[in-house]
Amino acid sequence: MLRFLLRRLGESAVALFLASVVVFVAAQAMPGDPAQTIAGFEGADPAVLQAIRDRYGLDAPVHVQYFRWITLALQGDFGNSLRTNHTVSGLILQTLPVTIQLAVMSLAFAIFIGLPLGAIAAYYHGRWPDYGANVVATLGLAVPNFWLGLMLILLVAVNLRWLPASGYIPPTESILGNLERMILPTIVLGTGFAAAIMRQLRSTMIEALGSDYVRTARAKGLTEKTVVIGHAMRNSLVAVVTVMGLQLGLMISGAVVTERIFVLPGFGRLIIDAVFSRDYPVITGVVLVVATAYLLINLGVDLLYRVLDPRVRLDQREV
Amino acid sequence: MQDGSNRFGLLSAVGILGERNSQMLSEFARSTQAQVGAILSLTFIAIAVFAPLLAPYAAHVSDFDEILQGPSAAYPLGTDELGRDQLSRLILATRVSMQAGVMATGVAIAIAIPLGLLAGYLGGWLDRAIMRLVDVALAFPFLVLAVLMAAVFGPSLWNATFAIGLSQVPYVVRILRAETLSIAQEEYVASARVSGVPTTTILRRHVLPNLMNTLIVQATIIIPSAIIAEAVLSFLGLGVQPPTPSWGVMLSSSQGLITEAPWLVWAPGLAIAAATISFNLLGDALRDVLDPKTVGRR
Amino acid sequence: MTAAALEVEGLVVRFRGRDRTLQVVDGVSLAVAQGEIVAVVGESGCGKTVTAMATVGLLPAAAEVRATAIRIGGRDVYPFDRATLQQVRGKDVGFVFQEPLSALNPSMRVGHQLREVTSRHLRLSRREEHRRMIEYLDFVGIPHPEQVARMYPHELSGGMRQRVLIAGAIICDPLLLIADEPTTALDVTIQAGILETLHELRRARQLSMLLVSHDLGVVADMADRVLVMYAGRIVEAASVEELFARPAHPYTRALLQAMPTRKSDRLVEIPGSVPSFEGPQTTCAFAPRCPRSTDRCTSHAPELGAFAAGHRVACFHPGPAEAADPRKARTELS
Repeated sequence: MLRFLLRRLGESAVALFLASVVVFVAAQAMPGDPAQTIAGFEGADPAVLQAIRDRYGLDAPVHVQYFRWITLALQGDFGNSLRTNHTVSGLILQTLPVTIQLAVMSLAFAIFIGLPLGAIAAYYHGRWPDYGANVVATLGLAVPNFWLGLMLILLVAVNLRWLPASGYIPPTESILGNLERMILPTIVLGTGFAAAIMRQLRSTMIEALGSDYVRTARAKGLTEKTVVIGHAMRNSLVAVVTVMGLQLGLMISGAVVTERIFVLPGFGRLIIDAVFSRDYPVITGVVLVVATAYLLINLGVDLLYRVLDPRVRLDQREV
Repeated sequence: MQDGSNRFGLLSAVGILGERNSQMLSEFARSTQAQVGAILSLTFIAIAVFAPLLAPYAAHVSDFDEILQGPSAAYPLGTDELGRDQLSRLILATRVSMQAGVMATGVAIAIAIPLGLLAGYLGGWLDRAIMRLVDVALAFPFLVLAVLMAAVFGPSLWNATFAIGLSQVPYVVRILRAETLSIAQEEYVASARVSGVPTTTILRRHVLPNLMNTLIVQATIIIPSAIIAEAVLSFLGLGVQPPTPSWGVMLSSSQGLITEAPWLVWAPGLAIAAATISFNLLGDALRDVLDPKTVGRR
Repeated sequence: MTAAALEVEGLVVRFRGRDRTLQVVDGVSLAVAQGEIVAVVGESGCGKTVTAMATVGLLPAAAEVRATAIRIGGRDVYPFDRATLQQVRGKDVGFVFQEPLSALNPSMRVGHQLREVTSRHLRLSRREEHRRMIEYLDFVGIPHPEQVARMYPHELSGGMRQRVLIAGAIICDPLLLIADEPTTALDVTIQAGILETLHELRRARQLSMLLVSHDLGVVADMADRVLVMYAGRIVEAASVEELFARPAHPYTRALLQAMPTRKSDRLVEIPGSVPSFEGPQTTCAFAPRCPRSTDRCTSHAPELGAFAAGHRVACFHPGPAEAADPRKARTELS
């Protein structure tokens, strides 16, 4: 296990390195003078620009520039925003908690809705609860989440006036206010996720419920609850974790969109605003952080596999 | 062999399709899901192709006297803030979505085929290197790629679809590699290799045709995802630029007018959902026939 | 008189399919006395496994089970109700299945799978549970039970897995063990060990057994009484010695001939295959393949009747073979 862990970490490190190279290349390709980019707010005084060039070695060969850039990045220095002159890392730290709260709440929502629905659909396979759950899941996956968001706003906020339509209040100020404004975004971001989880669990559990070991479990006189949850569902979780890992790719676009609709000052909004204001340091910094996060999450999912299914020998070359 | 249940038997008898393929086609055509999915998908494609003929008004026609009108006889889905007919824009936007679906799939497959084939067939360091690249690619979801493309090249439909296609490459490469690996074990491949047939020919003539089923299955997964992804990117402004109509763009501009013109919110969203469901149904039905042991959906 | 371990009367099992229904078990009655080993033999598809599973309602929902009575240890379990079945299974009746690898949960440690049964049915402290688990693992012949208990099924050999299954089936000291082809999936060398374990169980704990098998060698080794099934019905019932010495039903005779022995150097097969029925049988199911069939066989269904002491047959022409049957020559595989 340890050997596997080390190997995986090594692979992730290589991937991380390559990803950072990609980001660096993209950053170089972005229009505009890098010195100007870094100078940002401070203006276009040629002397200042030259000083920056010297300091950041912008006239140096590319690989040297890369090393400087990555070294700074590893220390958390991504430069300053062109627009506001705040440090990029500062902006990231400011906005990340909002997105993380949204992500965690959506994940919880997806699990608490998706798992039971999937289990029920599997258990009542072929009968109406199954068909009903399937329809719900198909809709959940097909309906674009931003449209769902707009419709929810229309219905709940504008027509019914139960919840505010947009905006954000940090939990430190008012927990109730925070939750009020996070409910709709959570539903919007979590629905697609819930549908994917539900579908995967259903399909895997149907197979599990028909398996020999479930028959043995029943033959031992175990209660249906033990059989369904302790045996069938437990063995199906691996597949669900896979799906969750795959869904994460959609998670970030979902978060960006959700934050845009509900005007949440999160990470997603940061990046979109940066694109439109051509705030390249922010773009580069954010992309680097996101890529790193993804690689770490993928690593985490792989490890989780190992814990959940002792049969999986992950140190074999997977096909 | 006469099989009464194979309606496409004639096609195989005449030599157009292989025996097995025509049986699969028959099985496919029998399922309701397939029929519904196929009809709906073809409808969308048809709408996309004939859009200018179907739309009552041309794309950019605006009548400033008719701003933000609700649905009426002249404007069945109402008008937007520039007095443009929503129905026409909706129809024309179908083109964008279908284009996105096709182009993204094309990009993904074009890049994934060589990578997957080489990785699966040649193995060794090349395989490991390609899989490392795949790992890296997985760190960049389609939105991030689109952001990068937009930052470097400026936002456009092509850049957006390229980013979408690129984001699908890792998944397709993995699957193609696995398939190639198992095909490479087959005897006829081994004998071809032993006979000195050049690798490119083997890949082209023996491996690739056997991957067709998998490629079709992948296409059915990518297209609906691409439709939604394009809508998301356009919604955020990273894809299609106004005034070109796209469902995502339409939704984006409707957001600010949600209280004044709620009718602008309904139609584009429904269109996206309908298109996605149609291609998903078609895809599911195709997968049932072509690949019974499908890997989990994305 | 102590109650029989198992009594089944008039069992009928039908499978409802999409277009048609199959009557897989057509009126089977059997009994297993305390401490007795009863074997049910027949080809694949004759309904013997279905019969065994039906006794505790272990068939899938598409199966319709009807019986006059089903009693385990004197207790009625039919008509089925879930609570009763869940109490009886694992505690009064233990099951051993054919494929030990798939019958065990792959992601659960072996020890846990045993403790599950005791926690469900017995009130024991954790320590007692553990002790009992080790004791039974040891009893079925598993070396180093403490270590094995912590292992996963795939880490064990086929023979060990089957022993684990057996341990799980008997850990609550049931009255009856139902074993469905317990050795079929195992190597011949391992088979002997498992059979020895089962013998030991009967010796030490007076365990009654219903053994389902198509392997007459296993049956000869283990059983006290044998029931021969064909197409969902019992066609012959006798003690094991009687059956092997004086097989009465043509099907039984054919089965015995088909047994590979060291004497014969050819494999004998019975031509044709087991038929299936959509309703109760009105003719003798074996008639199409039977060397002795007459018009009576194709118009009436024979019932189980006495042939000799403790020996019953369902046949219109039971008894020893004729001198030379031309049809037998046909059955030899070249």
